[in-house]
Amino acid sequence: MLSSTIRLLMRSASLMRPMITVRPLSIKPTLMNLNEKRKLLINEIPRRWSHVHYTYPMIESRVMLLLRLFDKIDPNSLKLDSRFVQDLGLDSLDIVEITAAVEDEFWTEIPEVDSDHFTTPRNIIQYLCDKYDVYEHIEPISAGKEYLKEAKEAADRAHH
Amino acid sequence: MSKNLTYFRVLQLYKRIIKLSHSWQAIDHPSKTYEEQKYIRNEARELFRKNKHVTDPTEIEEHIREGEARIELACHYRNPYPRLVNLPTYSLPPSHNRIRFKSEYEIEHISRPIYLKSYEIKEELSDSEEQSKTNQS
Repeated sequence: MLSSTIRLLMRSASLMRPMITVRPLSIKPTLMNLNEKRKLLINEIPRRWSHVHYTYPMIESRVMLLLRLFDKIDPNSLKLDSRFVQDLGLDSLDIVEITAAVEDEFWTEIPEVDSDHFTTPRNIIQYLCDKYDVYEHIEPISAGKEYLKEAKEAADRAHH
Repeated sequence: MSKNLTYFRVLQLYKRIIKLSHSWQAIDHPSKTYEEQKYIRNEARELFRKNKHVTDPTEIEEHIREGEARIELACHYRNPYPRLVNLPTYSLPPSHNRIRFKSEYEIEHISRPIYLKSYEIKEELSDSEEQSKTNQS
């Protein structure tokens, strides 16, 4: 009885041996219970070396969705330029909560020195665009009109 | 609001509590995880707003200490609810007719734990007084 269990263990140990050379995260997917709402497989968590292509519409839609989900904001009166403190009636503490949600969404850190200057959703989006080097929504000032048209056509061709 | 160092420290503390509420897992009652997360967030919102008007720097420091103490207690015991205390352990039950010296009030204030600083002291009536009041009303 005992010897058979020992033989079983040794056989399973031999099966485990080739796995040790592989990177530990990819042995088998395990469920990580972050909370009831967000159960992720470990393989799905974006890692440092995974390249996510950030675009302006993607950042904008994510930030506006976050703001609409915030329970102190009326989703109908939310626009890109609606100011948090004056128009939406929020607090500096609420702005901290919003930046915490944005940090969780974009897997990044935003220091309080920067989050203090967030007055409109546009500020948050611009901050994230600066962070991720997204500038497709900005019209270049110094370029001539012909170059602008060519650059736009090239960008359209690249995306489609 | 002047943007000095204590302002940023308070905001940092608030952010820490909110982040804690996002990743909170209730160990004792796993089904109550969402309730406890909501509790942490609402407690932070209410208490920070209640103490918004405090201007004395030492008081603000004490409140920051209170917040940090509550975070550490919650993380250590995995229980976000504060342990309530009624009286300092040596004192007699309160009788409202009794004259108290100023030092007694001071001692009572000092002996309350720091993590209950924002909670108001409610003087509870003893049973006989309560019964007489309900009989009258």
